[in-house]
Amino acid sequence: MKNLAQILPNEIHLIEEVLEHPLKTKLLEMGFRKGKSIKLIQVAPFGDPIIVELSGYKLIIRKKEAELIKIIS
Amino acid sequence: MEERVIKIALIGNPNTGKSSLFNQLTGLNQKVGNYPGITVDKKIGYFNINESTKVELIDLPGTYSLYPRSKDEELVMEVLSNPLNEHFPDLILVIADATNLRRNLLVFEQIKDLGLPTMLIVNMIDELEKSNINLDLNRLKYALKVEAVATNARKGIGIEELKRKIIEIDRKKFISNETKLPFNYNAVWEKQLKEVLGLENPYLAWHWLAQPHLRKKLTGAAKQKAEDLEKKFNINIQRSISQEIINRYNKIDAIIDENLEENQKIKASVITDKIDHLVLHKSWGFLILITVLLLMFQAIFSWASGPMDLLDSGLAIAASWLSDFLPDTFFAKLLTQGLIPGISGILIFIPQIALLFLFIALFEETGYMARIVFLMDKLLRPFGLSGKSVVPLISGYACAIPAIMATRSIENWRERLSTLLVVPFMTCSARLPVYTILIALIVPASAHVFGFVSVQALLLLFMYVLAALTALFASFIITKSIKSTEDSFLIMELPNYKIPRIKNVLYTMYEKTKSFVFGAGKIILSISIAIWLLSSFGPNDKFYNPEKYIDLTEVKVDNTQTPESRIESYKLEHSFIGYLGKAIEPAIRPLGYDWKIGIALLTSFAAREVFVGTIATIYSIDATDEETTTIKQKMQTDIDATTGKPRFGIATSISLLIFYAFAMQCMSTIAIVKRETRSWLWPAGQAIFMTALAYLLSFVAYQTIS
Repeated sequence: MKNLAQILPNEIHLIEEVLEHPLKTKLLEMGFRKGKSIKLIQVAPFGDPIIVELSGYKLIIRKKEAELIKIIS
Repeated sequence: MEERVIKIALIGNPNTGKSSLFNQLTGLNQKVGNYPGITVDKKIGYFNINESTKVELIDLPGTYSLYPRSKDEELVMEVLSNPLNEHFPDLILVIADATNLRRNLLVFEQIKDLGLPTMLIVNMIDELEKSNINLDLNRLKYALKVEAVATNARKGIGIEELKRKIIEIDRKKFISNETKLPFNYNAVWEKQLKEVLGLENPYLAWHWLAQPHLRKKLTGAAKQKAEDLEKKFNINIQRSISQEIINRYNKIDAIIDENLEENQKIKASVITDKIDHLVLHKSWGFLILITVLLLMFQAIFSWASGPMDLLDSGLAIAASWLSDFLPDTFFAKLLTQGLIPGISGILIFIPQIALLFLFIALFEETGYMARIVFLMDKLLRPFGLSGKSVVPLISGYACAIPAIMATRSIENWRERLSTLLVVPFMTCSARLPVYTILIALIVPASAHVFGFVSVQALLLLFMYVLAALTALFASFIITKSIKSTEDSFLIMELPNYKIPRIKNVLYTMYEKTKSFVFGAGKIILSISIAIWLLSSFGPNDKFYNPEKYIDLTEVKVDNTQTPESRIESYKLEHSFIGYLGKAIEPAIRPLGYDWKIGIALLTSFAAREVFVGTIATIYSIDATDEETTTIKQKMQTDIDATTGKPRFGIATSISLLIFYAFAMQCMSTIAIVKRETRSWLWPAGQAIFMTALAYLLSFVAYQTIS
């Protein structure tokens, strides 16, 4: 299964789940919820972090954290 | 009529216009204090609703949830969980961004369940109208079972209605009667947990168990019993929290779907996308960033110098006028030579602080700060720094004082600590006069490479690069050696660009300046008076009657020395600080320094550039002739009596240059680090580490070269 760190710019995906991790609750709070659609807007010039769009707002997130978010591919 | 005071807490997500609302309500009637033991600023403001009602408004740190991820966020529950807390509110105002209600309502729902009077403020209502979305506030109020007000805090719309509701409505009605926990649980466990903790509200009891910083504060018996229950009923805290968030969002989704006509989606900001296309571009983005940072640097480095000189000379004129006017007593001298220059040494930082925070407030207000983080995060992370460390580090090239204050915007404590500990390595402007003289002693002005590149300039450039490399390296070491309970992560909102509110920017500048003057000022004043006392008094008659001991008729070869300057020099040598300088000579001999340099090292603890003035005094250079070239010539021709060689040979000069690059020769930096970390431990450790490093490197340099 793919995770959020692996998708390409402008692709829209649905979130499958957030993996068990101490940051899971933080990610849920920020709106990374099952069934929500997510789009990769841009990767930073040095390859990390990334900007994603979720429920109408944009978030900056490091790839390390993005790997915790599984998506339906 | 008797005045009543209502305590209100203001809570909400970051970027919701919380500080705009706070400023709208309280105006300049606000103060910044500190909470005991932690470094988070406590922002409190006051306003009157009518003649008999005064409000004490506390601005709590922005948060997405009641479960904290940083020391700042812990503060929210610190205040809300304890009725004995001096700021425990009579009413909680939760501010929510109208364009992002779903996520903003999460923390609102959590707070409501704590069973405290809560009111909702739907802010940025204008943005919703712009997108032609209708929000039926009455229906939303009904669905959420709360009182709510719609505002546009930036324009001040809705503020009067908010004030009216605060006094008109019976706050008891705002208390939620929710008695269930927001996840699956065993009713027996919940009942017993409430009993053990002596709390009626189950959700509050849950937070005392689920949040480590609250649990730590439970008394022995209650803590033991709560933990026994946790084990007995096999409670999985993390899983319950995850479940809570999912359940809450499902409930919020249902409410929003029913009450917000989202058939027309909230328009993505086209302007923001266009600007970001350029600002976040892989080459243009950095070009813009470098330009912006250069502009900021230019401001604190050069633009600030005008007002600084004005302040400096203004106070000097005031002091000399006073000393002509006052009788020649100890207290008059204390005032004109100790106190006034000491105060001048504090006020001198104001232009730099105000200008730096002008830029920082603009970065934060417009939303550019998040873009800086996005561009720089990857580069700085290996060193344990955050994308937000860029601004303090660059500012450090002008002055460490405002730069250290600027680390406040770094949320992660370890990243913030690393940044503020390494900022003093950056080549601040006070080092420049020292470097200029020493570099002139090391390399002749005529030395060039490729026929046109000055070697002196190259060496100066090298010192700037060395400073940045040292700061990064030191940060790397610090990060490796400081344990942190906070995870390093980056999940940050990228807000739309906004036009900055001048009012908010001015408040930030005013507040930072005030907090410096009153927070670090007294330490700076004490140290500068101590240095003045040590250099204005001596242990014996030689200090008080120098004329008896020097032969002023003795003819000196050069004519730069006036009788007055020779007396001054003699007095400095025989003052307490002069004897101290001599006393430390054995310790600094291995670095190639004698007692004259020793005195300069001691006095320049007030500020690095004082080195130049002290050297001038020691070499009896007349005050009217304090030209760099004169000082340089003096230093070049001075012969060390014990070795018979020039005192400022290449080895000594290089050793001194290194010493000033690495040592913490600045009392104001120590004062501001104490103020920012609220502990003497960090500034003391930092000063010892830097001095030790400077000593070691200067020692190696001197011994290798000489």
